[in-house]
Amino acid sequence: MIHFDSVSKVYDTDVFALKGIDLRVKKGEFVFITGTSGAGKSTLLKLLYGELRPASGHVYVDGVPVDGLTRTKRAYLRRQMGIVFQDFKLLWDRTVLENICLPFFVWGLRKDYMRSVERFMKELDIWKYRDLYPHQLSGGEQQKAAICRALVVEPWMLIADEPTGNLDPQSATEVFNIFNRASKAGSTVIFATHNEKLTSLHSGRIVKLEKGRLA
Amino acid sequence: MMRIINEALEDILKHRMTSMLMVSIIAVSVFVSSLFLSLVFNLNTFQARWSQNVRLYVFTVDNADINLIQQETKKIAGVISAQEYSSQEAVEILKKKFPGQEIAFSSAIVPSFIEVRTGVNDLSVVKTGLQKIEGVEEVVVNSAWYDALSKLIGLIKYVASAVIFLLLSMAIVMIAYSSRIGVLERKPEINLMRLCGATEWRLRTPYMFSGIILGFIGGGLGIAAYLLLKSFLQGTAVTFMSSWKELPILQITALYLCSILVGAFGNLAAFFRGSHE
Repeated sequence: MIHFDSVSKVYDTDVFALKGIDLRVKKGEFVFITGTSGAGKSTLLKLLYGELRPASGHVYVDGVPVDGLTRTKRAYLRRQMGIVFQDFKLLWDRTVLENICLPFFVWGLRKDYMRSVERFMKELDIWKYRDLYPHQLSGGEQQKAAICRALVVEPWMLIADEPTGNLDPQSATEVFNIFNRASKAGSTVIFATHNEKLTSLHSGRIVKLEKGRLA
Repeated sequence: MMRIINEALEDILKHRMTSMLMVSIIAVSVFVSSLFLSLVFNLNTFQARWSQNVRLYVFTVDNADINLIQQETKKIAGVISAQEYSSQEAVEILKKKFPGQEIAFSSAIVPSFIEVRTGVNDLSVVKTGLQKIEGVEEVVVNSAWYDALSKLIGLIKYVASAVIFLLLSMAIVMIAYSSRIGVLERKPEINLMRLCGATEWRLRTPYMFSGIILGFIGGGLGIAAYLLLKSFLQGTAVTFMSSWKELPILQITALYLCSILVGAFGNLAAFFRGSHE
């Protein structure tokens, strides 16, 4: 269970990025966060995985306030999340395979991690690119690699910040279907997008943000 | 663990120039520190040797048990010998010291005493120990020249210790600055690893290991340079070097450990500064 309890966030410029957000997300739910650029979608997600701290209010994950966690506990919380970033955050000097294996390198290698990596890479049709570097891939393929990195750890919560933002409509639908499958497998999906057409592809709840407030 | 060590080695090889610079900084600081350490150690040895020429004179109260005081004196740490002189022997010594003035001395006015020789640097400890013995009235130390020399040696030792401390601290600061570039270069990766659930310990361990490896190499080179210089000087006709003692293995080991710590702390400082900037 995720709970945003009267959460506000102010940046240095005294401009409210978020104001008084009250939101509950149940386990296994698929939630779209929509809104125009600057509406506060990324801020909302960053508060969820603890990259930002709220100015007021609290964000709870399974009843635990994220902003009150120590660095170590926050790290362990993030291990339960799969995060897909708007800018992919792939490492350009590592191969696609090394990028996808990164969470395992960070946590310590699991015995069967390669089996899991291979399964997801084949599912996303990027296994053939494993020895290539990210700059040798197209935007869609890079995004798939970033999504694969989030999926391989089989998280119970999948957070995606504009994962289709830079993609053509066909690639966007393809990427969206990956999240759809993860949701059907039981993961909670929080999907931020400004593409309202995508929301019609799923029966998930739509949360709309406007200038930092829930619409 | 192997993964972390591999990351540390990768980091060293990737930033070869910075790594070489760090090894050089550590090697030079350890080499110079070992010279100063050697100076301090040998000054201590010389001081202990010179202190053997200093005599402490123990005068007792009337009817004191001289034998018992002599035994107690010998029990004090650092005391090499305790020789008893009766009043008559004391007079004979004075007569020999001041020929032609024999008439001035008589056993009635010259008391018996115990002459104490020591082999320690700090005579005040021995003096205090002697004063605590029952029956001792006064302890006189004939050490004006030794006190002056001790003060000078103390000052040199203080300056040398400060130089060693400063050198090692400067090495940490210089390493922190040079390897910060590498940390800044890897910052996107560090941030991504954080977001993937890396603990701070996991992030900083490779830096600590690479610091330890570089400290190990640099420290080894610095100590090897010191030993080479020492054997070179002993092989030449530098006469005072013959009495110059080798640093004990314990001090060399301690210096080596310091070099490893310098590498580790330098790299950790770079990580803290770089990754949180």
